[in-house]
Amino acid sequence: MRADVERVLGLLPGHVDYADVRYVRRRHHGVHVENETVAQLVREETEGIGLRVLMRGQWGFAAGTASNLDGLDRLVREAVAQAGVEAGPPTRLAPAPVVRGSRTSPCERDPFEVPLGDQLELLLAAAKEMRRAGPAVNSAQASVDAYRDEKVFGNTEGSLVEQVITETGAGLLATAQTADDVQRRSYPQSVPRAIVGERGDFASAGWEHVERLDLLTAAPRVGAEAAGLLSADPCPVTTTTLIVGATQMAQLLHETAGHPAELDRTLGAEDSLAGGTYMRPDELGRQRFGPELVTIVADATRPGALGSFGWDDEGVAATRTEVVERGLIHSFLSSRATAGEYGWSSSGAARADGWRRVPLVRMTNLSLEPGATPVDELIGTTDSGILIDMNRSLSIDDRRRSFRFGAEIGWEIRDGKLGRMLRNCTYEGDTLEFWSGCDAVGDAASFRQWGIPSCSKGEPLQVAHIGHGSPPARFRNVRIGTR
Amino acid sequence: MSDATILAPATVGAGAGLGLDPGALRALLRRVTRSVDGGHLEALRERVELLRYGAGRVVYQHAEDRPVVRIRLVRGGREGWSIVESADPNAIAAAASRIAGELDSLPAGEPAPMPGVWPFQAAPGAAAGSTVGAAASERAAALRRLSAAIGDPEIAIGGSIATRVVDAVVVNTRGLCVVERRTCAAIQLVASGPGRSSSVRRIDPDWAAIDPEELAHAAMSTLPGTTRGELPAGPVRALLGPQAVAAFAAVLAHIGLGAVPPGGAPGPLDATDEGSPTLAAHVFFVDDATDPGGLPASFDPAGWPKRRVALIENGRVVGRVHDVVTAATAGVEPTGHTAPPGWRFGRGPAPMHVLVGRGAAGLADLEAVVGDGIAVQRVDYVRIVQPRQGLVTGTTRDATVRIRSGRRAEALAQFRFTLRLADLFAAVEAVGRDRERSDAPFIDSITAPAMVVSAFPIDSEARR
Repeated sequence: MRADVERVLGLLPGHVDYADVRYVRRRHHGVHVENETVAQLVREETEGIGLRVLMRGQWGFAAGTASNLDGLDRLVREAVAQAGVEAGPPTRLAPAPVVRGSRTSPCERDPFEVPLGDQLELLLAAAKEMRRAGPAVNSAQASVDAYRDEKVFGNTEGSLVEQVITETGAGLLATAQTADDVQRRSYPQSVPRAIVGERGDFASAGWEHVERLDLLTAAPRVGAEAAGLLSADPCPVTTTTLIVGATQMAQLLHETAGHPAELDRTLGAEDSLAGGTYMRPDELGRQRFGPELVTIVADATRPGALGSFGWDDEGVAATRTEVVERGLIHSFLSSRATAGEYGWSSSGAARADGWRRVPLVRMTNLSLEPGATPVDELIGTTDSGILIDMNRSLSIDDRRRSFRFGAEIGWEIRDGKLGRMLRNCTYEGDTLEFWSGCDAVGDAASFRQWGIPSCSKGEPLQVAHIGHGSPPARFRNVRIGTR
Repeated sequence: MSDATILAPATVGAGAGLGLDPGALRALLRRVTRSVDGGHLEALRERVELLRYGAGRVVYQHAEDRPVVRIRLVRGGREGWSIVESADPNAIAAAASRIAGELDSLPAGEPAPMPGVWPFQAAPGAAAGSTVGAAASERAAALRRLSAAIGDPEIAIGGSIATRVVDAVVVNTRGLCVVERRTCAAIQLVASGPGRSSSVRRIDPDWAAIDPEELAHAAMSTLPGTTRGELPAGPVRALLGPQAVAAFAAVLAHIGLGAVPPGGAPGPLDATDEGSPTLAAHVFFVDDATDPGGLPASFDPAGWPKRRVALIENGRVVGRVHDVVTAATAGVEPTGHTAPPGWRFGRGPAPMHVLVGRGAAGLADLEAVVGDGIAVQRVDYVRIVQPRQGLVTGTTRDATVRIRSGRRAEALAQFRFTLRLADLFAAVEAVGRDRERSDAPFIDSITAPAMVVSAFPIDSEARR
């Protein structure tokens, strides 16, 4: 792999101002069961080379699988031809240190070495446990997925880094139904759409992460709650105090703070597709996001988190960045290409979906830093309100200001105690008004790191593996509804 | 990576150089099925080229050349899959060997039958030479034409210009060998000024059929004025543009018109205790991969021939799409809707080439039917809230305008909606005669006209 990267760099013509080459070999194994059947057995392998060149400020990108001399030469010719066709405002690439090194992510037990029979036994048993809740649970799904990326990055500035990243995850989904209603419960984390497999919680780890999730212990509760939701009261329509549970907080952070902090959105680059942002680069340190107790960090160095790496796909070392510091918007997620437009340094957030896609500004591990309030106190000091958890649906406008989230489950809070279970809960608001109402953030004991393997962006579509860390948090005067 | 390949050597080359070698694939199939009862190889060679632009510049360009081989092996009532993105026969054979080694760990069942040899007939219009040959310089020229035709320095443009060429081959141990080239070209243009924008998208198998000047004219003619109005929450009469109708129809087809709804639970078009949902009599859906009004294809990932399936006629569900397994259960012929292995959007058969029936009304006629209401150009972030009820939520995007006395008037703020898809299509009052192609991650092509609905629910303002 390294030799091929160096060969491509050696084939570049002299008039290329900058180029980077990524050789990526990816392996994905997935097992997905539904009830007593194997629904999907996924075995995917891919490897290839992506070459990006910059000439007179214009980008070209070509990707292919051929590694013979003809194939590599064709790759170079294609990328160079693209960069040469259009003159426009030049891209200003932010400077970055030359880096050389290697990194292998932590992995105690190789997930690719766990026998398929053992995986099936675990998943089928978990599905059976979920169905103990009764015939209302018509679908009990369980899945495990494992990914391994072997990546070599080199550029014309002399950087050359090699990484091996192993990621593993698992999850449960119980669906219960009556003639006119469907309710679901996910564990330990949900996906916002009906994606098959790739569910649950992921980490930059090996099979030990699946063992820590303890699917068999959780499965009966997941099934019972799905069935119980069918007869739960609908969520009231009201304006009240909302406690956002830790799993729901991951989605809230993702949509209202993570995507808006992507710097390419400020440049008009995503106006026609992903959209823009309410965050203003000219107001850094002054634009208020929330109260002082809100600090949100993007940290690609967090051990074991799904969005962690050694270097991003532009060869920039992983960093920790305060996106929101004590309530003020402090910085953006950026790449060398986008940061250069502002004369900034890259935040190390350029990430590509495999060898065949161009790096885009993506989230790494975006987390709400823990506050000082234990969860018991968060609930105990709430006279009247609702606790909502586990995302089920979402809607947000293309500037990321106005949102509505639907959750799998809610609980009424009265006089500081959790009460009846509620179904079809939604909450909505304006991002900045909503966050201004945050008056308590859960403490470190309630903080949980999540790994989500399904963040979509870009054209052609790219799917990123990202992390969110979050405790629960409390918000005042929130519009709650039912759907 | 090695130099061995399943690609056709005579056709390899930049841009126009696509091709798979069916002979090499048949030989590879024989090699990988020696120790099993049967199997198939679906090989795709996909070439995607794209120019994305925004805020007056090229944001990035992209060229991707990807061979994909999906291997299916069957032995003793067990089946296994592997997907390899490689043209190297040794890499493909190694992946097949690994999956063969796992077969005994799987529970035995009744693997889906494979198609035998059938009288292959290529779908007319599936591929166009202009798309195969479209080079980076032509995409750049198209961008210059878009920019020149907009002709207003105050109006920013953004979007993408893309071509895709796919060569597909399916070979199996029943002797089947089908080969097809499919092409698609697309230009998206969003023209925007302060507080207003308009989006136009054209998709066609033939790159030469897309006229950048026509897109620019369409975008400018629908760009709202600078006057902004307000609209209270509640139901309103609405003209939904073709792209908006396509977005709703795609979701309804996906969750409601496959033989097995995603998630296994009944879908929004299944009967309830109160009977079967009835849509407006103007509503017709057909899945027809051979219709040149969509993006044609003649076989599915398993090699089954694509068949035309009437889905909705006169507002009533009359058919579903099937793969070989669901067809056997229903006692009908497979319709060529096998989901690819590892598909993220469900394992059951799903409509993939939907055409929504057209009416007779021109745009001005449709505006007159609305009288007083709104026009919605496209919708964004449409997400399923409740699949059984077909309940979705989302926001409008780009040119959302008031219609007063049958004519377009002031621009409106974008708003959020939450609606039942069956209710939406039950409220159709008029259907336009001009259709546009669209697509979604879970559907290859959806072709739809504009529609007037008597009640489009506005939840709240989504963006000021």
